[in-house]
Amino acid sequence: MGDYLKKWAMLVGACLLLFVFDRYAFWALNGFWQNLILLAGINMVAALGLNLTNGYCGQFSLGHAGFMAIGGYATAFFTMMFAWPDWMLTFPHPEFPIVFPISLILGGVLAAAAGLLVGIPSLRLKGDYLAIATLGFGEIVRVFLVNFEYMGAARGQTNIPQYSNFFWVYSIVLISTVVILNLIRSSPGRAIISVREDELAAEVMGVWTVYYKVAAFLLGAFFAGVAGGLLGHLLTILTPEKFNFVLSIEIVVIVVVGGMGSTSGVLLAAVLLTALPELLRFTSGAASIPGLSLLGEPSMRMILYSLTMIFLMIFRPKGLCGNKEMWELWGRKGS
Amino acid sequence: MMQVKHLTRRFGGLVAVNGVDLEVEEGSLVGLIGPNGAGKTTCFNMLSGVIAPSEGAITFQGKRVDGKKAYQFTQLGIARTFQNIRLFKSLSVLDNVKIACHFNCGYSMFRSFFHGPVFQRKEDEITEHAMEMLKIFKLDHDAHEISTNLAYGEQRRLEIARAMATRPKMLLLDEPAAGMNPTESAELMDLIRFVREKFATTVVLIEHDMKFVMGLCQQILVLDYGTPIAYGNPAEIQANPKVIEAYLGKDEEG
Ligand SMILES: Nc1ncnc2c1ncn2[C@@H]1O[C@H](COP(=O)(O)OP(=O)(O)OP(=O)(O)O)[C@@H](O)[C@H]1O
Ligand SMILES: [Mg+2]
Repeated sequence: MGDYLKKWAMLVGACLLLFVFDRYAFWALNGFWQNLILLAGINMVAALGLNLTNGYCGQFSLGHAGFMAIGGYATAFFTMMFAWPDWMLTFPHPEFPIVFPISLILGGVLAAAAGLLVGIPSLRLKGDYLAIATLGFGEIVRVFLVNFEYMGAARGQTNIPQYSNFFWVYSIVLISTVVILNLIRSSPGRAIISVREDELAAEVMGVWTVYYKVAAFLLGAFFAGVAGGLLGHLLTILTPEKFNFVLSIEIVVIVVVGGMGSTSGVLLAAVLLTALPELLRFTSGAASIPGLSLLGEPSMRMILYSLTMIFLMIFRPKGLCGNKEMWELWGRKGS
Repeated sequence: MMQVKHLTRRFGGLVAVNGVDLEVEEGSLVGLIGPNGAGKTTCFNMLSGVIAPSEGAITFQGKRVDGKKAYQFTQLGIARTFQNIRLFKSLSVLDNVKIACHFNCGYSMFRSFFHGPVFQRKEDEITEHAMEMLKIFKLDHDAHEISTNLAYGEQRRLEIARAMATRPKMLLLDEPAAGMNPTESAELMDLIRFVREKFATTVVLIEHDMKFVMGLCQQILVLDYGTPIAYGNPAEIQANPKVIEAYLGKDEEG
């Protein structure tokens, strides 16, 4: 009992530390690094969600961008267009209004509701068929937004207030990580994993597999929605194109590189894969080998990026951490 | 405890199980035998809700259960093992058993986000129950081993331990002694007798090892090409000309 309260008090304390860091240190970084760090955090939240669906539950979804879009647009709607009482827009501080976390949660809930809606019919499908169905869902969302005049249609929603900051992004990363690790180390979490391991055996052990598949899908969509909300309030503009299937693939790549079913691996991969393409920008000028320089600067960057991926998949085919957590891997080496 | 009436399953033109009638008394130990492809596993698949019967009815403790899903069968108290072992391969031995405790876990998914005191208490109960099962099946020392690293005989025992962890009233064992050496299968016989008495579990088992079946079961049902050809105690079955024909006929071919 006491132990449990202490853990949650520590979490609150950690969030306060993040707040202090945000106020007194984060602004000193230059804009490039600030952006990179915030994007990495947002990718972490999105990938943690997808890891529940694809990694722990083994239901391969390619529709994550669709849920991020729903969350992103919904959150922007709630912070910008919803008729909140005036005090909520400035309380406790105009840069930190209470409406932002509330809208993020509402955005996540709407994305989760969409997850429920597509999850129930499409989770009857297996493997590739599920991947195609969810890919289709993502495209439907994008096409809908292109025609959604109310929020800018193809031009996108502009002038979104820039509420996403270091504090919000990393507090959410922290809380998501704790909540997901808690879930996974519990009976419902083991039920979710059993679906991935052997669906028939799980069913015969009394696990209502349909329920846990839908639950994993829905929770994954919730985190995607929150990540979308954070993204919109970082970029201050959301366009339907931002949420095309390339974004879904990017998040899938993070999960695969990190290790399907490894929360810490996915966090690490989110940092690496957000930073890699950006950091390669610096190297690309110097790396113009005769002959290859023909391809031009951005291509050189993409070649290096792809080579990194290929080497990674050769040497760590199950991702950086497999389905273990980092500390479990270290523990094994030590003993 | 369980009444099966005219149970039939067709796969396209093939009648895998054809009109099986069976009455399983509470606390009894029933054997299901027959040559390869006789429809024994198909029968089990229907009795555990994995596949639906084409015809016939299954009544368990006075309630019709055919048409329900496999997880509902398990939650009602019918657990089973598989002929080709189906463990949760990349999970530990202990987690394999804990998954079987899931539907009895006693807390909601919401509680599992916070790991509060109720969660801790229930989770301790689950661990205790799972370890008790592992101890009975002599697997407690390997509790934290990954389940595929176990020896074959141990994997078979783990499957039974996992099924028992669901607290079944009726246990269906599909060839539990397959691939075991004589010592191991003799031990397994004792183990099955022991859990049956300790937990008052009714057991139905499929086995090709005649010594095993004749030594353990009180009643035996013989299937041949899906059709029940004999039912009785071991002595009656051994003397039944139809059974001898079914088995000898198979021997001539082989
Ligand atoms: N899903 C299925 N689809 C089509 N045919 C099937 C299916 N399952 C079983 N069969 C067929 O039904 C018949 C009975 O199979 P079953 O597995 O029940 O036999 P068995 O008595 O368990 O045999 P064994 O002793 O080899 O385990 C076989 O001819 C088999 O090929
Ligand atoms: Mg069989």
